[in-house]
Amino acid sequence: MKSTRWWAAALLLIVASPALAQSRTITGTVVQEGTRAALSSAQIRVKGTTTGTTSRDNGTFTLQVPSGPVVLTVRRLGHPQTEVSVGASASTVDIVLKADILKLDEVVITGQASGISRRNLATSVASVSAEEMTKVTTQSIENAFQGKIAGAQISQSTGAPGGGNRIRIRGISSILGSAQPLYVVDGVIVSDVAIGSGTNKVTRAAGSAISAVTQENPDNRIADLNPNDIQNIEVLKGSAASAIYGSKASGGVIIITTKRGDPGAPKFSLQQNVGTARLAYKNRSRKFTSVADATTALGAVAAQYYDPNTFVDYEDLLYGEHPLNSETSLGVSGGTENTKYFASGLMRQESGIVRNTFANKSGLRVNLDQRLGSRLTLQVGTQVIRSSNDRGLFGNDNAGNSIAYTITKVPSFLDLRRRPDDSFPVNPLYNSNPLQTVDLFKNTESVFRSITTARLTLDAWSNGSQKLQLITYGGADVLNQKNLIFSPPALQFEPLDGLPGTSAASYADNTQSNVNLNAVHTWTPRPSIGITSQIGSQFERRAFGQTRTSGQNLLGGLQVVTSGTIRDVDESRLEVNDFGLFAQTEMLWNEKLLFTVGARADRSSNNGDTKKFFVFPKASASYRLTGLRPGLVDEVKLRAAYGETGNQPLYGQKFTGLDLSSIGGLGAFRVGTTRASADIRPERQREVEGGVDAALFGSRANLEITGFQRNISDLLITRTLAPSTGYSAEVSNGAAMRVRGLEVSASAYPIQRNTLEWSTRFNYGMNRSLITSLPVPSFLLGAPQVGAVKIEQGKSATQLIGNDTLPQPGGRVVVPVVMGDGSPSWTAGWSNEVRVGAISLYALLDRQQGGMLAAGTWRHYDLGQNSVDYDELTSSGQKLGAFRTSTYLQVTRIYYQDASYTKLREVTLGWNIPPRYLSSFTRVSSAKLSLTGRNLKWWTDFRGGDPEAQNFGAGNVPDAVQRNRELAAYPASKSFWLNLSVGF
Amino acid sequence: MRTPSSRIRRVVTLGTAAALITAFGACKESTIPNFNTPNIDGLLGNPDAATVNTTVAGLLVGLRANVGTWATSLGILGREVYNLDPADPRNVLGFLVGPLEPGGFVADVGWSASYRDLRTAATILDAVDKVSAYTPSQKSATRGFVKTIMAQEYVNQLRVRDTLGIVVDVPSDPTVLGAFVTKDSGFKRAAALFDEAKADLLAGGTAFPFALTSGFAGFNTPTTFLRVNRALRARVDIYRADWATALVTLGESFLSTSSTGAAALATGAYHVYSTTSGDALNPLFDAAPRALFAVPSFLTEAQRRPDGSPDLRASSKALVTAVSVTTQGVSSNVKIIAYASNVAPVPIIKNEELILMRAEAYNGLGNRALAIQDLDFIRVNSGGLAPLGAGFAGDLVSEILYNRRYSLFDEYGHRWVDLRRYGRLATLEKALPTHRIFPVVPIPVDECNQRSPLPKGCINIQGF
Repeated sequence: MKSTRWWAAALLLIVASPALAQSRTITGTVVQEGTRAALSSAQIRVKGTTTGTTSRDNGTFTLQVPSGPVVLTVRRLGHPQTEVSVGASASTVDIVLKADILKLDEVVITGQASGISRRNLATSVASVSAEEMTKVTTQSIENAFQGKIAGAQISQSTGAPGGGNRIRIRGISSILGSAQPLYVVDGVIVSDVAIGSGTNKVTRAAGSAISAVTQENPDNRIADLNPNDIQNIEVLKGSAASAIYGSKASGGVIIITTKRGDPGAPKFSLQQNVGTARLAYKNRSRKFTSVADATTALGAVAAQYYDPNTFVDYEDLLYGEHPLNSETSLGVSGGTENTKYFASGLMRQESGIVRNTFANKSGLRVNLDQRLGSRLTLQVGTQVIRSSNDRGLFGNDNAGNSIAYTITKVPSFLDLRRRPDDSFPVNPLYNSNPLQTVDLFKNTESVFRSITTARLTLDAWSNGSQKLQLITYGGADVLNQKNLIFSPPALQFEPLDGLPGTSAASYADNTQSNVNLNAVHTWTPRPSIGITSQIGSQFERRAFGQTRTSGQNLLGGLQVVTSGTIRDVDESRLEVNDFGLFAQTEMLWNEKLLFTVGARADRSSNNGDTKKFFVFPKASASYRLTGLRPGLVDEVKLRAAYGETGNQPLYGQKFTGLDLSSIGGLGAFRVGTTRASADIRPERQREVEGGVDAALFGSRANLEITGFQRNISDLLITRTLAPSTGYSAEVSNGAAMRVRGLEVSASAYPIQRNTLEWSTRFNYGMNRSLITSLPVPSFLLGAPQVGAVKIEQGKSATQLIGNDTLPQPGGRVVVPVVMGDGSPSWTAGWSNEVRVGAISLYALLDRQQGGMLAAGTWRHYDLGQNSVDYDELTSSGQKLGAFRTSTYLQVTRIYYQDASYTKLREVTLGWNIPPRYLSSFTRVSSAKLSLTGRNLKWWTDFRGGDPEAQNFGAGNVPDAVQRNRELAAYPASKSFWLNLSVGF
Repeated sequence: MRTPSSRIRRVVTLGTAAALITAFGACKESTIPNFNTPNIDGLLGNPDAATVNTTVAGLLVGLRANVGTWATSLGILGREVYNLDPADPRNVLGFLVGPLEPGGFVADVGWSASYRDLRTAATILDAVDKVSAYTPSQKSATRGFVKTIMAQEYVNQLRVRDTLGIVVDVPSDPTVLGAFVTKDSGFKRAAALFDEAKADLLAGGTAFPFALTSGFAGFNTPTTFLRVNRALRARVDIYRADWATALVTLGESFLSTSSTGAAALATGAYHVYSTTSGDALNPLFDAAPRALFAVPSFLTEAQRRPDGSPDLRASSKALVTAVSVTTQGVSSNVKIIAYASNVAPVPIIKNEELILMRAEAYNGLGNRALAIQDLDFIRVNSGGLAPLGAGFAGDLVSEILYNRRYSLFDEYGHRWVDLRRYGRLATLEKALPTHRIFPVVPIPVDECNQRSPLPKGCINIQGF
């Protein structure tokens, strides 16, 4: 877009501003209820017109209003919308705003460039405020969602510093497409890419290639955001809400709004956290009571090391660090009516419970709002982030060196501790000495990222009842990630392949940019009717490239890949161009009836037909029943919505490729293993949602109940082909699935007095999936022996199949049976906060009921004949561990366990430091000291590790349904923090 | 006279329209190529010679993909070697305890890779005639080479599935499944395809249009490669106990007893490896060793030379070391030294095997004298053993099996296949009482799931 044209239009409009028929001036003040503190930036509007103003720093305002009595509508973030009548003769007005603790009046995004008050909202949109986000400091923002959003399953794949999470909103939405939500920061689609580190070159978890990254437990890059910058997060769960993002939205959309400046003198807010962490779950290990046990388990060689009096606790040694962690965040906000700014900086240093592992993050954000004229506003925001971490060597492993894997094979009688001369003993019973690995192995990652957003709003034209705004926004997210792996020749396992020393260097860059052009027309034909219409377009481009190199047999002790005599190289690229058009109309009648229709049309280079537009319509309606039984049932809102969204094919899925390789110096092509379908297109999700919201007991409580049914058709299936075709799989659209669910959330403030407050929030979500149509024979993802998902018509999309031994005529035979379901039957969160005077206590419980997970770590303790209960006897007198290892290949369920858990996610004990202690710091306006903790307590029957852990896959790999394997993950920890927040 | 507001409206409308058009224009190039791999389209339509030539090299990559499977997986089933990888105990539990299940760890055993190679081969055969740069004899030569590889892949799978049968047809439409055929018709089809390839090679002129690896040194023209084709075909004859045909085909192969040196015995076609990125390393080479060990009886059961030292083929291929690994109760400290480095080539077929095949064919035809003559050639020149001598009256089958075990150790999983041919699998040792001997490997579950009725190989193999 040519900027000069905008300027010309803007200038024209400023000059040509039509005069309104005004007849009097009123002045007033806006203050906070109770404290009567002045409230700036409140929007005051004459009801039924577009006439309005905003309050100044001292809370005052002046407004021209028509003659006769008028009603002023006052909105301000964090307060319920308030209406004040002003008599025909009054010239001053005192407006008192309550705190919007139930968030009934926050504005929720419903269009590409418009929103609506939650009071009228026709869809279920979860929202998490800044205050809820930062109760306990987290590595990544998703951790701050855990237990707070009805219907969202958020699991932390690994306990490694730096995060690594997966989110599933409203259950399964795809079998093999991306299932992760879309993240949007201030209008810019940002990347949540998860880039593997290259440790596979050492662990060989997925073969020996440098390019295999599915088992590296990477962190996903949304972790780069600074939670302290965030004003508000909205989670668009259903298709009706997320249809504005069309073919990218079926996994849900998470809309992040960052803080912006408030006019006035600079206000600072400082957060200082210091904390530490502890291992959250211990497996313990077998106490070998005789040399015979030791040699049975570990071979005759074990006899010379067996010592009944030695008991080394390797979990203490390996996972016993007590790190000193810190986080400092400083924000400042201020400005004038015309120029507002918000700036913040973050420094976070966190070490893991394993020595030499850490995650550091530092960032700077500047948000600037500038009025360029009476009608033109520019908002820009920019963020620069630097993240770095070392996550050690964890996860699945086929080379005997992953730390959490090796610990299962090291008997407690064997002492592998560092000798006084600083050398490590060679582990005579396994390939590696995990203590040495912790000491020498390096897995460093560093990310440099910048997210820039801009928004230009032009109040193009208005008269008494109509207003046209042109809104252009967009931005870019650019990130560079570098991963360096160094496994020095001195490590015990390194010379085993004859190539001592492994080094890997990976460089990735990801660029996403999008531009949105919108015209928003609001029309108030009568005071009781408001119609907001908009049209818009969105262009998005994503490009990702990655170069990985590795060297083995490192010469001269160097880390650089070129010092290796055997080198491996891999490069891959992807690029996607998307274009979408959007139109919608929203009609609000009497602030009671809301009706919305709209559609988005999308095309993408990832589709087989790149020219074709796929249309995703939506419609919704809500009606508020007010004044029912004031004080008991204040109001009830009925809502119903329908929407469609899509899920794009992944880049490359439309191509049947020839694999590249070489043999003896000859280049070679082989027909690829996956066959593509030429007309590949987005998956389509059609969702109906209905619900009831109620405000109760004089707005002291609210209740929101939502039911939904989504029918997903054109599901992308990488269905397994008979290998005798020469292909292993084919990607095509075809299957259909239904997901039904129920979500309930409630919050209440039963007690709200000066000295005593109690608030409570609860949420619950459940859903069930069903494959309704499968045009191909049912197929397995994985092998039954270790547990597989079976995609089968008429069954849940996450049903788990495993071997079992069943009695049959003629003997017992091994047959695959349904073991259970990988998806939880429900999730719930419940938080309470009680404040007595200056002291407050807050706790959040998070529950997942059901779901199944393979207990890989425990299985490996058993296979190493090293599990703590190995020697217990079964009813037939066999050792329990021996019984399990001898039957698990025939009875998969032995190591597939219920993944239910309850976790005490967050605890905060806070003290609002009374002003009398602050009198010597004249500038300090508020101060709070808190003791906080995360994941302090678990209740679970799952054995072996964290029931949230996942070995396979990262955010975007096609394993939407298959996240049910825990295996040698970096162990989970509980963290403790002391927080000081100061406002000045 | 226009009102100001209508002028504004016009400007705004134009502005919006311009913006939308700009956005449209910006994404005109919505066709984005596949950056990471060439498309299969390069082999359809009018393929160029370079693409087809490169794809022929892909056949060799495909053939090589299963080297570890044959030597190690079949080697474990035939108790030549163990995989004692401490990180994956299924290599012990799955292969030695079982049962073998279609959905289990031991079921694919080369199936996917073999058919993937066959798919690549079938794609080349479809493309060959459309390559305008090829001369008619080059087309014929290419067909002859490709068909030889295809027939070899049939044999590869017949060895694993045996009586369960295999699929031979790979229809160009992958939604159509090739039918299962019995072991006998499978071998018949393989033999016929080797013969078709022979006819094509004979019409193939003096040179292939594509390059072959150094593993085919001496066999890299249509005429010389025909000798490899015949050698592979002779293996089918031996497997079918068609002794008379075997002697004929061996006569057309590169079998030679003119030299007694090690190099002459090793003459043959090989899989090659290199450390170049994109190439592969010899999967049978385990330096430490970390996972791959010889079954200790390979050394203890070796015959003695006149000076009391063991068969040279044992001592040159396996060695007792200080490294002992125990996994799931199975131990070995015998390191495999059959391959000197991670780029040592692995035989596809070699002269030493051809001579042993001829001995077996003579014995099958009742000609003990010639059989003993060939066996002694190998015993003396390869094993350093005393000859059996013309007067040898013992069981020649045992002698043949002994020599095949030691001459062909850790190459192709010969021992398991050979013992099964003679019904002698029960002679295999079991390291632990819970261990089982498995005569065949079931059809993998992904194949079973796509077929109704189920092929007969979709069963659990309990072993004995």
